[in-house]
Amino acid sequence: MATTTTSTAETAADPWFQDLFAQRIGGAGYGKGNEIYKFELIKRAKRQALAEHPERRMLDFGIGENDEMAPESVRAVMRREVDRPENRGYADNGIAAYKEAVATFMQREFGVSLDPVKEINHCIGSKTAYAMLPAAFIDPGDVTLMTVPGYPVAGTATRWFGGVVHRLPLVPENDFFPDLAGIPDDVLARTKLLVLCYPNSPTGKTATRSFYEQVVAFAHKHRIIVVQDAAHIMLSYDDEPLSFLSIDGAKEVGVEVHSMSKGFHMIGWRLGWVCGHEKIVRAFADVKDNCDSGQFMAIQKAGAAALADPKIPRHVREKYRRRLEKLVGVLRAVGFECDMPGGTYFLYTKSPKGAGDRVFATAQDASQFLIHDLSISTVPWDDCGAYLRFSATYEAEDESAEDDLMAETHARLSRARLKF
Amino acid sequence: MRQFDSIRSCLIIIVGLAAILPTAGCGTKKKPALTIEQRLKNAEKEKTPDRQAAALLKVARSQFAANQEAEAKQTAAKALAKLTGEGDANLFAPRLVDIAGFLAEVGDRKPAREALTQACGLIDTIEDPVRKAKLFADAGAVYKANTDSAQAKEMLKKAADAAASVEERFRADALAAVALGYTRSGLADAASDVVDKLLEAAKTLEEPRAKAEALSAAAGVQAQTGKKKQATQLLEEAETAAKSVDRAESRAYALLAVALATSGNGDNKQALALLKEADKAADKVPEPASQKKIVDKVRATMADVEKKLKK
Repeated sequence: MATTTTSTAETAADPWFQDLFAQRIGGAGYGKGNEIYKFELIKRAKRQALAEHPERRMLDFGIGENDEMAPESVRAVMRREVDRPENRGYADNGIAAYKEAVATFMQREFGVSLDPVKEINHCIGSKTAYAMLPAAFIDPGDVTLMTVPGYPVAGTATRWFGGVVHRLPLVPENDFFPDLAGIPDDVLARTKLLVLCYPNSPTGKTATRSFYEQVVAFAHKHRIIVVQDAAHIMLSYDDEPLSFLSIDGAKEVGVEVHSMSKGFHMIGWRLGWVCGHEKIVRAFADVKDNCDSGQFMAIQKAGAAALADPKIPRHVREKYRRRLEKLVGVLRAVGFECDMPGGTYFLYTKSPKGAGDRVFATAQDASQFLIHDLSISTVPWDDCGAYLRFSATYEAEDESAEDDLMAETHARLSRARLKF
Repeated sequence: MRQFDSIRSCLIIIVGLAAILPTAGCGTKKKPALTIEQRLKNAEKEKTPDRQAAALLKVARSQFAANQEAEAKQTAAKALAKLTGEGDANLFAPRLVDIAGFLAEVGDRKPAREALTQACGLIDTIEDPVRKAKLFADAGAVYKANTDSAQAKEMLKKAADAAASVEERFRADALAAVALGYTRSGLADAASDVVDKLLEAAKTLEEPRAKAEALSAAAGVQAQTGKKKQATQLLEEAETAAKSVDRAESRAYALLAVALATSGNGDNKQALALLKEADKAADKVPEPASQKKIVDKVRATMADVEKKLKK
């Protein structure tokens, strides 16, 4: 995500503008770094494993996106709307039909009442919202509280605006909740934003009503805006999906950012929404208005159709619940200490410490071993302890194919003599 | 004996620091009297290693105060052991510095040095320059208490560098910590240079609450270094700035900062008068949770100051 550079020395290959790059992306050293990020490492290892073992299918649990197309009903709306001339122009800050569909959805699913005109604004995927929201609040020196591990976009944007990120580790000892009471007073005095994500990616933890109540009280007490990432909200397994905005007083302190990607199989469509406090939504819309001209209206109309059909997110949820349950069974059978996650399509579990005679110092090491030696791809997280993230979004045509894939996973992992 | 005296001086200054900084917590809560064994058990029940370490260190301090030196050292070693694994720098580094401070105080220099080495490695990774400056300043002072002047200087230099990179609005707070770090380490000239920078930073601020807090921080450092007259002068400027704040909550915080520094400069009567004004402003804060937070802070400080006045 961030760009790290290791050399600023001028070379003949540099373009004439090499020294014009902004410091926020590395300044004159931009593009000269030799640090390889974990996703690139995974890609390279996968390529190598495929080249060395073309006979061995890559069992890919590293994919962080849905494996299915959007439902036919949604695609049909898209096909129809794409041919309508009234959808051709700029959507700016969104069309009423989508906002109204969001308001109905929020009421139906979470009992949250929102004014579609003032308290909801669409975004071109939730990622863009995290990049834009800090622009509305962060001045140089201000602090954003970010849970770690987590989605780093709001943190990157905070830094780009001259702000500072204060990490809130999510560890099992604290039930994967941030320790809000442990934040130093001098940090709180400079803090403007608290970015949360529940159901949490990657840990799979879901929020409780009591946790959200603490967050609301904390935000009121310290005058902090809450930005809650609800991208995985429809993938809640341990209880009914819980919106932050359903908590008394939550709308007074923040916004929730939703996505059509995970819960509706619309990952590439780039559509989401920001909802909550009217003035925060307005500030977001003002920033957004200066960054983009809105998502294509046909996509918004297809999104509205998806939101109107309660069967879609339920179908998606049941699919990933089923897959995760199978995955938990397989991993436990080979020694992983894992439980069914509360939400998301990820299984976040402690990384093995070794395999046979090999020792893994980090989750990265374990991940590389699994790819190279077993053609099993996962995503390592070493931010707060060594963990592997298995995603249930692997490609498998039907349940029988899922079972075959699980059997193969079990067989390969069993051979590895993993140590925990 | 000399070392104990110098550590005592450091502790007095540390207590002073808590009183000076505007965001420092105030007041004490009454706790039911538990035995050391119960407290040790409770410490183990804390959820995270940093919290366990903090709780164990408190027990160690109690043991040391009760002349149980060997037990105190053992408990401190347990606290340190909680922090040997992987942990977040923001959570582990301050605990490590605290433990190192205690170990230096009881003369356990080797583990103190090891804890400081680990702490400073972690502090290096902290992104927030204010936190970095404060933690390096603390670590520097503890190195000095552990009789390692060279490391003390190096860490204080790192603290000063971090403070210099802090955004103008928040720089005074960081510089105050650095100045106190130098003071605690007996480096008066360096402390004086930082105070000059601190004053420069404070005076350039336009926003009255920030100005009042920064001038109070500067006054606090002057008071700690025995420059009472200069401190008084700065506090007069700080008071003027605080009284020009319109927004009730900011006004209350600004007055609280001036009052704390005024008390630190020995004028508890004036500090109490300022706290009464802060209390009035705090009462006018419209948002209940924010109001409670500032009212609690002001009233706890008032109680402390009243206690000092009675002595």
